[in-house]
Amino acid sequence: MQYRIRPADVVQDRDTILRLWRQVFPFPESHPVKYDWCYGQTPQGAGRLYLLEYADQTQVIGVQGIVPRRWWVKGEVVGCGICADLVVDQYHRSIGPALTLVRQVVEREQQEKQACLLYGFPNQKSEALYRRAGYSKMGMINRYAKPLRLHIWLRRKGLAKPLASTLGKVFDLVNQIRLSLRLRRSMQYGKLVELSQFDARFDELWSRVSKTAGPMAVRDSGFLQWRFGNNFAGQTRIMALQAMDDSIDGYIVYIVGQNKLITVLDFLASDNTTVLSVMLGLFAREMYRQGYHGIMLEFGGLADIAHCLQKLGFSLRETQPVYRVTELAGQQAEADALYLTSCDRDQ
Amino acid sequence: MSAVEQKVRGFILENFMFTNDESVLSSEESLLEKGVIDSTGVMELVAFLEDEYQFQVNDDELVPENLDSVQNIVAFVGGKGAAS
Repeated sequence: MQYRIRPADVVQDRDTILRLWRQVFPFPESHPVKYDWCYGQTPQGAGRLYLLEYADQTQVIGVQGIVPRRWWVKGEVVGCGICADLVVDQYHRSIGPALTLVRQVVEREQQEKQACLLYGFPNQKSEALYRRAGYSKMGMINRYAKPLRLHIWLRRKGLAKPLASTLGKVFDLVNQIRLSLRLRRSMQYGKLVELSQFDARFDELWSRVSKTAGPMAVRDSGFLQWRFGNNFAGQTRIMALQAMDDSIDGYIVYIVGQNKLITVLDFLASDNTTVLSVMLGLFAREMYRQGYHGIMLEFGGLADIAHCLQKLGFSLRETQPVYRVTELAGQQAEADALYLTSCDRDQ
Repeated sequence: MSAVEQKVRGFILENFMFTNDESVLSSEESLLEKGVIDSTGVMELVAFLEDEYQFQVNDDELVPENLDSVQNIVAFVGGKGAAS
């Protein structure tokens, strides 16, 4: 075969890989940070990278990474990996190299039993490539949006400013009244508080949630600190639903983006119906009070949560398939039992 | 123009060139050299052919001689049809 893969040395091959990344990925200044963050030592183990070479020239012409994750499956922690950072040199984007790379990475990971599950979020153009390489659809991750200031959204839809403003304010008022009615008994669930770090209470929450959780990435404080504490340079904010005894029954990790839009990166609640609904409702009310225009979040899996989001006024905007290869500890991960948020992407 | 060529041209124009202007795509020119499709695009094209014509494209058939121009693709589909 003309092409072959080999595992990269994360230290020695760093410059070669960053050179390939620069061909494809935007914001090159962020690449070294991302590289060290995902492929150095993480609480989940070391990341893995595979290089695609010309068999006879040892010229590196492609790379794919596997970002390690620990998943909780049927009472056990299992090693998984996110397929990420696929690049093929611009002069080798012909028939074969990309397929060889993706397929051989799967074979190598399976042979060496590196991960019980490999999954990825290929874009529409890459879906056929992943399918051909042996991946199949595991489920979908959906992007939801909830407008908080409707006049902004109505203006974006082309409505005249006076009409958008009047209609928007009426709708906002109605929505806030509906939300307040929905939250009228929320006091018994505690209050929403801002936290500055992922402390031991997050471990206690994860311990409770994991007792009944379906397949999902482990969300203990070590993971959350790694996932959000360093990578976003202090931009992430944490809100938690804090009970009277100071324990927490849920959390939301988010960032404030452009145009006063909130992007939720992860959320978890001790139950996926009432507590989650109260927490997200309180969060929406708080974000409205703080003057933000809307909330975006991603979720894929449990139908209860999708239902809860819709009841709270989150509407489905986009949907993206999640592909996987290999099974979860011998069990096929059922799409509607999964729990996926933006946190489950590689970055 | 055959029905197969029409379908294949339509798919390439719509999905890779984002136009319906037939004149921008000649039947003979190399899709790879012209930058119309890349390694992921080839797989999209293969998935389209497999769905549309209900055959399986084997790995050893993933070669430019079969897939690098409209003309080659049409001949390849014809050959697969004859074979089945």
